[in-house]
Amino acid sequence: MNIPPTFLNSDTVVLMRGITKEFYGFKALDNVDFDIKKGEIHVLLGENGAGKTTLVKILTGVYLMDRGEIYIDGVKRDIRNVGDAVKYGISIVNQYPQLIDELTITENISLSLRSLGIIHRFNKIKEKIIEYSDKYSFKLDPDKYVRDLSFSERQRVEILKAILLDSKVIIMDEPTTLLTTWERKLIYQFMKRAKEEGRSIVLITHKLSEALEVADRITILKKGRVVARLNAEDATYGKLMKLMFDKMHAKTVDRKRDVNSRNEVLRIEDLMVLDEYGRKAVKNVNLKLYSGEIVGIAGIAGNGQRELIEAIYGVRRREAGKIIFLGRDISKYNARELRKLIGYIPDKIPEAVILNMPIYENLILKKYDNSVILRKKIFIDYKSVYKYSDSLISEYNIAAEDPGVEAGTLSGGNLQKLVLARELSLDPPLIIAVNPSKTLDHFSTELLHSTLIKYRDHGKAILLVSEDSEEVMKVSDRIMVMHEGNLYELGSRDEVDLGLIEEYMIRGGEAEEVIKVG
Amino acid sequence: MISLDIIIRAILAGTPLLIASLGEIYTERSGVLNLGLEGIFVLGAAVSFVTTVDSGNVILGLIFAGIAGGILGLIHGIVSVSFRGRQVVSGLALTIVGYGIASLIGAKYVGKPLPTYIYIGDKWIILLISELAIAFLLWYLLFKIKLGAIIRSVGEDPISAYGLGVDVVKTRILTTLFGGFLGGLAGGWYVLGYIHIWTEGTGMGRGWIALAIVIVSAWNPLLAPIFSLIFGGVEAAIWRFQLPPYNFNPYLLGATPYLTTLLILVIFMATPLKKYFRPPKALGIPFYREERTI
Amino acid sequence: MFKIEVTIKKRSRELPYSGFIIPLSSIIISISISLIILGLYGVDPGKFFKVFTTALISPSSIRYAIPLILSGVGLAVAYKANVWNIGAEGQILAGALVASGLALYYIPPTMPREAAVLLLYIAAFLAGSLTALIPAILKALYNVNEVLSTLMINYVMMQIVNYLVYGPWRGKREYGYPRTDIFPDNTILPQLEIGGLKTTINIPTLILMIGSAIVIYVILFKTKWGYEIRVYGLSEEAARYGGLEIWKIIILAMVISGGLAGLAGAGEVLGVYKQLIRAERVSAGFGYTAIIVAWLGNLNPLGILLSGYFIGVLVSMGYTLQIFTGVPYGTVNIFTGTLLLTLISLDFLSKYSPVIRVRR
Repeated sequence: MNIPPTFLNSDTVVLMRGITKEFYGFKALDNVDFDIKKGEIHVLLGENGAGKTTLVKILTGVYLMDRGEIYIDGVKRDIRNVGDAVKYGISIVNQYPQLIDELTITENISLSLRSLGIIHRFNKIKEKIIEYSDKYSFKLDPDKYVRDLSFSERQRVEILKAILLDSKVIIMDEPTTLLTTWERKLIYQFMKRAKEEGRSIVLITHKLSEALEVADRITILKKGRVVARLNAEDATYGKLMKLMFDKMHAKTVDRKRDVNSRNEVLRIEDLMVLDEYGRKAVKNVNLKLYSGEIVGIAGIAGNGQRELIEAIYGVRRREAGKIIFLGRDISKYNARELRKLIGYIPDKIPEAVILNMPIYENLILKKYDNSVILRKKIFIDYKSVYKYSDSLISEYNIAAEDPGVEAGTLSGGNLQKLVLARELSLDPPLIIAVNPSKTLDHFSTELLHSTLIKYRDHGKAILLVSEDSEEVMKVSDRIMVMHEGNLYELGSRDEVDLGLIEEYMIRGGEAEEVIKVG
Repeated sequence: MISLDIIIRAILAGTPLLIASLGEIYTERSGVLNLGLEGIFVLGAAVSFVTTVDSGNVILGLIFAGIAGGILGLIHGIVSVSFRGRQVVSGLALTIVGYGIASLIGAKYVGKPLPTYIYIGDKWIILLISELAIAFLLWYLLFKIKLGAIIRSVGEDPISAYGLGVDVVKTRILTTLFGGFLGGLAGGWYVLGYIHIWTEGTGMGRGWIALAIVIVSAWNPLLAPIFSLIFGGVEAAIWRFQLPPYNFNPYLLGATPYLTTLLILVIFMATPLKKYFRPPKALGIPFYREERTI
Repeated sequence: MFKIEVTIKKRSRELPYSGFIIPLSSIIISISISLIILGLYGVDPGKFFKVFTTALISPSSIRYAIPLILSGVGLAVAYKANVWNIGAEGQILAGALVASGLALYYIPPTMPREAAVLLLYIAAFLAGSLTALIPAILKALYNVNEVLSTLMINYVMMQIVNYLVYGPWRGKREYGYPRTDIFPDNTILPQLEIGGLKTTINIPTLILMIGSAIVIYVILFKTKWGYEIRVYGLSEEAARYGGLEIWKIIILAMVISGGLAGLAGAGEVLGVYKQLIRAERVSAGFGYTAIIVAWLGNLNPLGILLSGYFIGVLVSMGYTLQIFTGVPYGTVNIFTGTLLLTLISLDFLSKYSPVIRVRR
């Protein structure tokens, strides 16, 4: 949809026209038009991979567009780096706050303020931070180090930064997904005040309810293109659903359960694990996992899930407690053995892939000492490796020209398929998947979920760890929540609803009391 | 045994090490590892010698030594930051180039006497206090004002720093230039202020020790003088123990600074002390502006 | 006014033949830069080319190439594993030292030459390996930076060798020079003769050099150990994720690396000098130059055969220039250092393409 240039009037703060951006031949944005009016809350709606983040990153100077124009206050401008965006009054509050852990709040904010000279001694900026923190009731201590802040506090730091930069446009990327009710209220309050101050807010969200609640206007992106632009009055839940998805909301996945074989695959007793800083990340966790079931662990990032999974997978030390895998204590396994028996699809895919190696060398990471590939226990038979890779590429539908291309050239979704292919082809009794659909589009997510269920039906045990409560709800047989290092078993799928999961994710053990009180 | 003589010697020997390590602290705090420091030091030594022999002016000698070091530092910055070349390889290549250029320009000057040099004598207290003051100043700049926050941000988390508006490339190149300048200056001081003579290979080995000092000082300018003086002390001790009444073998003694360095490194890495000596998170890792869309 | 703006964009595929064009271009560029620097010092380029062409066909180039290639191949293994072994210099000395000591004081004169030499090579390999093992263990256990630990050991080895040749091992028949006596006959290596003229190339080490290049090539690219080394070298996280035993990889890489350098050291003392001399002359900076040989050869043993030869030519040239023009040998370092810098800069260009935009 094109916005003709005559649309420019004094009300329009930002106009983006014909924006196109490509990554390795994949079109992230295709001729997108987007405009922001003064004093409005404009919601950008769309699925994962639709292009919302890319569009916004171009506006904030993090990415360079391949084609297109940007007009700020009616004048055509070049935004070539973050500094330019800031200069024109555009700021972003990232979904995952990008602050420097090792510095204080004051130091972080001062980095963004051009007006402060390099010999600035932080005293003046500190005063300002306290002033504005009080104004919005943010309760921030400027001398605190960012690594000691909670998620919501970090977000507030980014908001303060945007305010202190006197931004005309503040972009907020999925701001309320991981907040408690009180914290969410704080953000909505802030957005209202910002509107009153004449600032514009671009809100990126996937929650239709939130869009309907706060938006003045809504722009919907799908697969890199603008498919709709509506005023709030004209938007309804049903309309938005239809525009965002091709088919109506995903049908519940067909899930029969084979209750015949139930062997204990994993048993964790009183597990305690530390994080890098020596703090208790996992405190006293107990868990039993059987073959033929999917256990979903929901939780906001940073509550110990990573440390828990790493301890099970054997890359992190247990401080206390036991992990029994297939009847044996985990310390009795040697590393290679263990990794072959557990298929692990990690959150950060690049950690499991050697980007500078060709696909075929990546695919044999867990299999290179297998007798089919190894001749005389020493030499790798690359001919059979190649054949093996070819078959995996077609089976898992990985978009690659041939197995010889470097893994680094694959897109995010295909990299994940590579890891899936590698892990699942070993037929491991236990599969651990962390945030598996975070970066996938709707179709691939469906495929992934049905693959996991298929494996469950074949008797595998699957541990699904996810920040997305809906995913956990949809796929798991039993549902648990991880909060501040503690694991709470909520019950089976039929006993639990989304609201309960989210309460536990945000509040942990206290959720019990809240529910009782009503 | 520990006479005033030895203490003065320790300070004189430690000064060039301190200068070089202070510069490298800034470089590494911004995330750049400069293994070229060794070659820069050797080149600075040669340049200062040649300049002073020709001009009779020690200040000029020091300045030119610093400039030579700065140029090499700049090259390292461009190759490893802008061209994303591996920092280790670039640094080593520069050390080799530094050795080579030092050889070339010093060839015709071997054996020539210095017409003048930096004489400290009884003014050693002033030297010591100046050093400590400079170390303190550099610490203050690094931790108490915005400049330091910029440098440290780039060394800990360049991607977030970039997101916050910091010019990562410019910062890294400037700190590398600064470190190179001080490294060259240090080499110049080594010749003009300490050994007062030059030959092929003068200054070799010192740059590596300065790099070790950076690590064990936890990248903190306040701690650098302590370790520079310790190493200076080792040198002074070597000198003393070669003479009567000890008469230790000069070659075996000559291994001491290096064994000491190794020992101190192992102590710091192998003991619980390690917790306090965490390097800047992004040290040695090149900065890529456009992340993968994962 | 026009404004030219250059940014970079990652290429989806590396430039073709980059494994060959890049080293070649670097050579050309660095030679030009070095000639300029030398020219500023009054060195005549014409003379330079004459010496260069002579060196190309001179046997002394091969003689220098031998220790460079042996050490270079070893370093390639370490660097493929991302283990920064800078200690080739010290490992060469370790091999030389042990070979010398055994040759002078332990090999009985009645032992047949083949057996004696074999024993000495094995001992030299072990000496080099052990010298590299210490930093390897320190890295595997305590994560001690191997750049510094190997460097420190270089200097320690230098001092030990010098201590010996100036002291207890000083030759009785050497008029007080810092050298040991000439080694017994059955420990000296036979030299290559070309047209009746003896060269300084000793045959066994030459064969070892070619053999090790081939063997290491096979190990790195066709065996499981090589696979593990390469995986770990490219991504420590992926290696850990896959359950590879990292400490084993580090130690294997260093042991091979040090051992090959040790062999180079033995070749020098047994085949070229036939005695142990001052440390600076035994290793002659080859340990550091081998670093450049390894990278110029793209960390591939077969490529290193070529790059080692080329650098051998440069070294030979350096010595010749020193004799005939007074230009110090050290200037060879200007060539090789600039070469390495150019190499890694060009490598960048093969992976990223410049995007040039002209704006009004």
